[in-house]
Amino acid sequence: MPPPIPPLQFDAVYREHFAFVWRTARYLGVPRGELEDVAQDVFLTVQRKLSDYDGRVSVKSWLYGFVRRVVADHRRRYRRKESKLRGAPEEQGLDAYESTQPTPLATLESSEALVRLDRVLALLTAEKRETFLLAELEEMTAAEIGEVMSANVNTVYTRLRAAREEISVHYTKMFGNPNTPGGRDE
Amino acid sequence: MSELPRGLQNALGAARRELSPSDTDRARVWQRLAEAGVQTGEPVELGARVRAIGDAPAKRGGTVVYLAAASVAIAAGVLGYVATKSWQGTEPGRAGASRPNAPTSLASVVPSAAPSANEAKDAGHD
Repeated sequence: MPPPIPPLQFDAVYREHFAFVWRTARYLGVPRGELEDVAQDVFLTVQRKLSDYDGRVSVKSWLYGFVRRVVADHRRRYRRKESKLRGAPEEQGLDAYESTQPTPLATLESSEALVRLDRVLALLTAEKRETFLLAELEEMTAAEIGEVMSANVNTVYTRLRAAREEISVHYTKMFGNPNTPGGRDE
Repeated sequence: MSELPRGLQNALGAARRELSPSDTDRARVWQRLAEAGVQTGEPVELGARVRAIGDAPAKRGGTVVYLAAASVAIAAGVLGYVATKSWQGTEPGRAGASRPNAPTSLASVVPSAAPSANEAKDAGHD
């Protein structure tokens, strides 16, 4: 019988994972001005569900589920507000956003590095992009990524390998490679 | 797995830095959670809290009892005084029972409600 999981402490979850929640919300497209609302809602949910955590998935994976849901809710509310203002039809949830938008990094940030990253990420499918960002930006393990994306570890590895290859090719084509003669990169 | 181009690695590093929250962001959300009723203090062990109450100095307990008793005594005194006065006011033959100056009309309590000399004169003209 596995040893019982020690109960999570809210303070500890906040301290260790606030940055992860914040960044995840940002690259899921939450505008800077709404991040506090989103982070607050995520941690309110965390507090409510704290006793439900059973340790079957990592805390990061568990949190990621909340972030995705809260971001989708916020986006739905935001779109409803927007469509009321413009009289335009409403789009559906996070998936609709992901299928029509590359990543929001460039729209949120102005640095050259982020603009470049955004441009190459835009060329990946939503699944590969998410896998790539979780692995490279959040340094999540393949098992954790599999948990949050409901995919097995082999699928995660396959997606990640494909994402890395595609993104490297696109990046080098668009911005050059400093390791080759004539590369335009820094 | 193949290595990412250096520029891309730099971009990822920059993204990680720029997308991360500041200490102010962290503190502000913490504050908002506290205002929303989330118990954001350091976790307190119930046993420790009970011990702390039990270990409170006896002197503090004595002061609290003394202040409580004084408050009750003052409240009782005030109530007694008010009750006596109101009883004296309703008992026939007691001082204050006749109350000759008791207000009987609006004019007696609101001076402006009494018609002025000019108003009375104007009314006469009508």
